[in-house]
Amino acid sequence: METGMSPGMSWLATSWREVLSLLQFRFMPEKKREALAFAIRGWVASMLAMYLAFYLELDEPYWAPLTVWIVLQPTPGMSISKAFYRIVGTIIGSFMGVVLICFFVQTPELFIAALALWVGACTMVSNLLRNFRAYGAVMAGFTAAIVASGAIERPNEIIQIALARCAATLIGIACATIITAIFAKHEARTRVRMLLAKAIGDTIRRSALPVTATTAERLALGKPLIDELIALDAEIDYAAAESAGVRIHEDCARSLVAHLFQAIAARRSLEEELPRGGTSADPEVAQLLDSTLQFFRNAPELMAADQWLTLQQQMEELRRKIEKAMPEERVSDFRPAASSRMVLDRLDELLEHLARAISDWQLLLGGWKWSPSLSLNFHRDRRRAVINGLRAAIAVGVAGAFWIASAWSMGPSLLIWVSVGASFFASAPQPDRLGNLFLNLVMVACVAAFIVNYFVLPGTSAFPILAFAYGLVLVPATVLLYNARNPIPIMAFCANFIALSQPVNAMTYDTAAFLNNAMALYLGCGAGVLSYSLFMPADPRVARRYVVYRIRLGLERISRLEPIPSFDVWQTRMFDRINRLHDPANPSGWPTDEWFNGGLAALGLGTEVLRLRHLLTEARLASRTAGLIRTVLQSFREITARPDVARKSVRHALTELERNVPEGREEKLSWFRVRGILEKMESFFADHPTFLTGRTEMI
Amino acid sequence: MKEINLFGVYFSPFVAVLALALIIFFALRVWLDRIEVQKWFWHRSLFDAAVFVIILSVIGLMF
Repeated sequence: METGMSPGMSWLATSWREVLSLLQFRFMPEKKREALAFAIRGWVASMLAMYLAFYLELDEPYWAPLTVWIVLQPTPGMSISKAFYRIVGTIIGSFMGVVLICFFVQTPELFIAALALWVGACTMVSNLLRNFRAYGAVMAGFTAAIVASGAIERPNEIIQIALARCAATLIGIACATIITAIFAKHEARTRVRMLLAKAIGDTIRRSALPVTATTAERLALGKPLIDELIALDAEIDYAAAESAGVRIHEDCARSLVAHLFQAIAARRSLEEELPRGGTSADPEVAQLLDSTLQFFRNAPELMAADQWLTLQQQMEELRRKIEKAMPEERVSDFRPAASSRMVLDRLDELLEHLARAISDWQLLLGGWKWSPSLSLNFHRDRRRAVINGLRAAIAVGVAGAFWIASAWSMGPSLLIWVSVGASFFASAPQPDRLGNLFLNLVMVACVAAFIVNYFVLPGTSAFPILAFAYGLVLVPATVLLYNARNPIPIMAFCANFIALSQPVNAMTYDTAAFLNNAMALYLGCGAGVLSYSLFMPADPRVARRYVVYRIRLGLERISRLEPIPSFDVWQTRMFDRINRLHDPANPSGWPTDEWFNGGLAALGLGTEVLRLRHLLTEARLASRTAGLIRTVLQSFREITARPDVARKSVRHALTELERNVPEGREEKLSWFRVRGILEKMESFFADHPTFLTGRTEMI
Repeated sequence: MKEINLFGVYFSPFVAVLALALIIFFALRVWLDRIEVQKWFWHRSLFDAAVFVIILSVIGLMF
């Protein structure tokens, strides 16, 4: 190739490119390169934190590098998000540690009881929160244990100990965050945009499925789509922490996801209605349905060509046509007319939510602009939260009792590690499995720390050599354990390796102390992990029964609460519940798909309850129709205690409604709507007779 | 500058300076986000870090 360069210059440029590609580890596969970069970032941040902690002469400086490995995440957004909640957790935990020592230093029994209650309460709160907020709550629990246990034998120094631990933690967080923010790739904005565009495309593809699509075809598209939308909440959280471009559009991105959830709910409702009522009675409705589905089939092409405006115009055009259609005035029979009304309403809703999602998408691509936000809501498993809290409290209490009875010198350390073991994995789906992996890696870390402490460190005198020695262990271990989705193995090994080797300014090489410390760590974590199997182990059947109970409770609340809860609150929370019902490790007698379908149908039922409430307050209704709606809503208010009453009440209301057809045009339109809603409710009870009863044989 | 007495516990005045700088920085960051300041800077995180150091230093010098 003719470049116009002299041979010497060309050789220099080629060599420079080769050196650069070597420096960027281009010879390695992409995955390994990512792992190596992560390992080097972690090592540099932890050594920087250790150097600063030494320089500031902090008490027990190893807490700073240890913290680095606890907060280290592969992307800047995740790192910043985790760091923020860890700072909050550490400050609250340190304060509580001081309070515990101030009040209970003279009475160890009360101290243990209070610490157990605090760790239990924090574990419970962490189970009710999501993403790294949950992590912040766990941190508040065991930081109190770290501070209080460190000061129990020298209570006069509690403030200094709390400040030193706090300072070491903050140094660790600052180093991990700064190194990750500067040296890791900033891809969150691109990634979140890509995921949102994919979610819009997938929702449109899901909406374009023909009416005759089989359940298997629907589920093949629907299930991954729901998982994708639920995971987007965390992605938006992390991207907002990393990128200013996402931060200003955070609400908008959540609103987009909520509209997609609502669009799926509308499409699902349409699918339930079509086989029941059909559209054959009204050719206009059938044609509108066909042209809407045709539009969805063509939409991906327009999206690929970035023709969002054309998409929106076509949607508006379709909505105008739907608004003008009046099947009630042409068809004399009630049943097909009510069904046609239902189909048109759901089509309109589907188009409306997709149009709103697309306008949110366009806002996302532009600069900052105020936009109203729709929130995403998630299921809170209160039952599991209480059990996990109770379990952590009991584990800490038992460990404390063992310490008092045995007077073991490493008792305070044992307390710290039991708190970590019993609370850290509580919110994971299979805490015992994760805990066992953690324990195995702790054992490996013990061996590695022993070798480094007794065979490598005695020969070192300067910090760079110490840092190099640590790098020899930390970097290869991190590369081996690297998994972008699950950093717990890395944390288990690296944080415990530092906790065990305990680098301090003047190293002491006391083998008995090392083994005592290692035993306290292993026994503490082991006792915490063992508690998951010993005390009320997670039972997927009970968990599922509880989700169904919460669905009933949700139905009761949406039929009662004032002001009327919004559709997005109910629907986004229900999608999370459906995700939980759809458990791949399904031990029940029912196939997983039936759980999925039952959950989706219950979502539709709740949406119809909300529609009835809106009709009652906003539409012009004949007095008899309004009375029947009130009776049905009343029966839903009792659905938690008496699930069968709602079914009977809906049947009764349908029979009564057919006997009382109103005269006026507006009243008649509302009547058709109410009839369609009640028919849908009735079909829910017919298709899923045992879903809401929560009887054990069905679960 | 005198040490800050919080319920009998003495804190370095730097803690107060740090807290004040953080409050000002977070308020300023909302505005910087909205005008999309990152369009004019190569590395937004470095820019944020530099702005924070400037605010911290100015407050430190003022008191």
